[in-house]
Amino acid sequence: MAARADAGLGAGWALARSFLLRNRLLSVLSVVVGFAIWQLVASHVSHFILPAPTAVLDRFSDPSWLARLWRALISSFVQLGLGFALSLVVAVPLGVILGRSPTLMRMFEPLITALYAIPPVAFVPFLIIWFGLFLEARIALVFLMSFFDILVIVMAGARDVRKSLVDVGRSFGASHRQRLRLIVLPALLPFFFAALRVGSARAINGMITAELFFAAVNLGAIMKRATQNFDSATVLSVVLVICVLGLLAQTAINMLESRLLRWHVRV
Amino acid sequence: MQKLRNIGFSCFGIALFLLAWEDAGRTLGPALLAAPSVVAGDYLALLRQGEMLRELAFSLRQMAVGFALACLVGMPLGAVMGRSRIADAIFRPWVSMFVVTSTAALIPLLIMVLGTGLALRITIVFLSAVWYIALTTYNGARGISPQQIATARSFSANSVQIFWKVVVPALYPYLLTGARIGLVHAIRAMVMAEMFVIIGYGGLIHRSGLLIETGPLLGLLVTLMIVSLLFNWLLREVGRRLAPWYEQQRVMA
Amino acid sequence: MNSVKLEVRDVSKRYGHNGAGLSVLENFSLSVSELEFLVLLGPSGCGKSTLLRIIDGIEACDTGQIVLDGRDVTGTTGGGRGMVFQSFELFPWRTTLDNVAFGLEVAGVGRKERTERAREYIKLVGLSGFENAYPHELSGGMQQRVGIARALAIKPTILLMDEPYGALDVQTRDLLQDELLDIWDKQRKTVIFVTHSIEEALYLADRIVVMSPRPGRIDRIIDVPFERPRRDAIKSTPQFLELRRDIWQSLKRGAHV
Repeated sequence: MAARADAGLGAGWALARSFLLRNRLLSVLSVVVGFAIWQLVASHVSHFILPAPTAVLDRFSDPSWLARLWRALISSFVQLGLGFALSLVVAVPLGVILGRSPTLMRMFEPLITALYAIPPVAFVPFLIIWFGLFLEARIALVFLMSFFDILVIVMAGARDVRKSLVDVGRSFGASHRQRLRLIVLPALLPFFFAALRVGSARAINGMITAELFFAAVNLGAIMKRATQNFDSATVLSVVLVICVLGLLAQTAINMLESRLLRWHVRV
Repeated sequence: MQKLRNIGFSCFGIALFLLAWEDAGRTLGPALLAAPSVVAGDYLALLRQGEMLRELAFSLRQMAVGFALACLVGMPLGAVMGRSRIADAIFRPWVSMFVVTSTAALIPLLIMVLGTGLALRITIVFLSAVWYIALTTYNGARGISPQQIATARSFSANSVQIFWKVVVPALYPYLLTGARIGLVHAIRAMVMAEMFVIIGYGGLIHRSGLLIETGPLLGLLVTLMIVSLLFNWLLREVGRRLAPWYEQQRVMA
Repeated sequence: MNSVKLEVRDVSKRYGHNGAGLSVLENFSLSVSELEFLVLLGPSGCGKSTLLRIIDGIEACDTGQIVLDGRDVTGTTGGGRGMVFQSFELFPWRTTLDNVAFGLEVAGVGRKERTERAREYIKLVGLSGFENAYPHELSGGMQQRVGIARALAIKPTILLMDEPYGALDVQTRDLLQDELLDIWDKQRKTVIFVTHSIEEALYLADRIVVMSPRPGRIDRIIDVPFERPRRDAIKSTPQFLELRRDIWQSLKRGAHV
């Protein structure tokens, strides 16, 4: 009897479990509970230290602040877009060239590893000397922060294109250029998307770092001013915007990948 | 023989880089870009002065605390997420949220909450490293082949035995890769936090940026590079010792 | 049937730098007749796959020549050679249709014509309806049918097959062997087929070249006496079993050397 009840309970639990998982309900629940705990904790501490989530969300109902946020975001996008685009334009071809040439790889891989090991933010004083405190410097930092991550991924991908597939191309008489266009580049696409994912996250990181470390502008300026006024709700709302921005970028890239790379089975 | 040739090629590449840099440095002058020959001299001076190494030791000690905490939290978190679908569903949204949010954006907030002291720097290092360590461990834990578990079960191993004798050894390489990736982020975060509140090694970099000459600044970057490479190499060696049966996994963060 | 299609002359190959490593092939010579179905049989490591890749031109040999239709083609590819690979080696980003059309695309055949021709060969290997499937959506047997269609689509005069069924289960293997014989019946061409399965060799070949390893050389050459068309039933005839035992003995001897 007890065993049967137990089995019934087990089946019920299994059913509930699969339901929760399939519907991602548990994930949503987790976020909701997390925010509820935050709300609860916030009501017991000073709002200077930890504003309630409702207070943070409240900021977004203020139209004048929303307009300011929007303007700041647009300006932030300029340096983000320029820096990231520049970094893609340089790092992707360079990565393909290096990865496809064993000689160049042997020559430059240690150098790249060494330069990659330097935290990009440490270049900030140097960038100030070269580019000043404004747009150019911010673009340079976005570039620097995403460049090596993209380069390293594309390089590894280009090096590891399956030799046997390239051999098929040779067997069918494909020229060097045909092998590059028809075999190496398509084989690289998943790595390219991986580079986009990592690179975009790094670029967004660079964007906000630049706005805080050079002359404070855009989102950085909003945060800095709010910090001086002990307006932690505003600071957190900007953090939230950056978080959503990052999530949107990742989601967009993932969607684009599954759309374009239907052949690729991600593990 | 082959190895010797590889080293030759690498030296050639680095020499080429140094030569180009030297040339650019001589043309632009030390105010814009100190040439390697100048940096070398400044570097010796930095070593003799002792301030660089003192600040470095100070910073690394603090970073180690944040990094150790990140390992202590990130590794079990990743392992549990990888082995339990429920834990995965619960923690996944939070990890995804935190991993895309740059730590730099959190600095102003953290300063309001924690001030500019030790707690701030440790927290920033922790927050920068923990998610990468967790995600790498997570990938490893998910990738453990069901056959290996089934094999252990067919030898009638219980869950505790399976955990210690199958799951943990299979995770070793991922834990070490996670630690390596986490360390890269920890060092970046350390420098960033210190440059923001102007203390320790990051503070030193900030102050050197105010000098007329770029030599000392570049020297500081060289030390940072050496430290980062050294730690990376150390963890790789530890990995080779602890898990020689496993080729280093190439894990993408 | 007696004119020479392909000649392998004194081919030697060593692995490792500057020929310091293992000798894979040493002064290997072989002559293949027009429209012959030749099987290279041997244990793994006997250099049979390396030899085939040298014949195809995707691997270089240290010394020696490959002569196809009286022309020296050493170190070049194409010229009527079509290759089927051991692990299929389909392009994962191409559909069945585009995979089969690959060789034609490389050769500069226009889209319309190559699509048409690819469809024809897809039909020949029995994959109609799967034109738009990607390799990961196909079973192993189907993937290798695509591989065969890809090689046939360029209308090769000599087909090189490198353990094409090595990665398949026995049932699929038998099925594909029969299909291959059917196709070969319809489109006669010279075939060099590499395998380590004695049964496969006996079932398919006109002539079997038994190889022994380190360095790879010819152990013996066997003329297979069975009539064509062949059917599965011959695999249990006394003559087949006798030959199988006989070849097994030579392979065993070779393994001890």
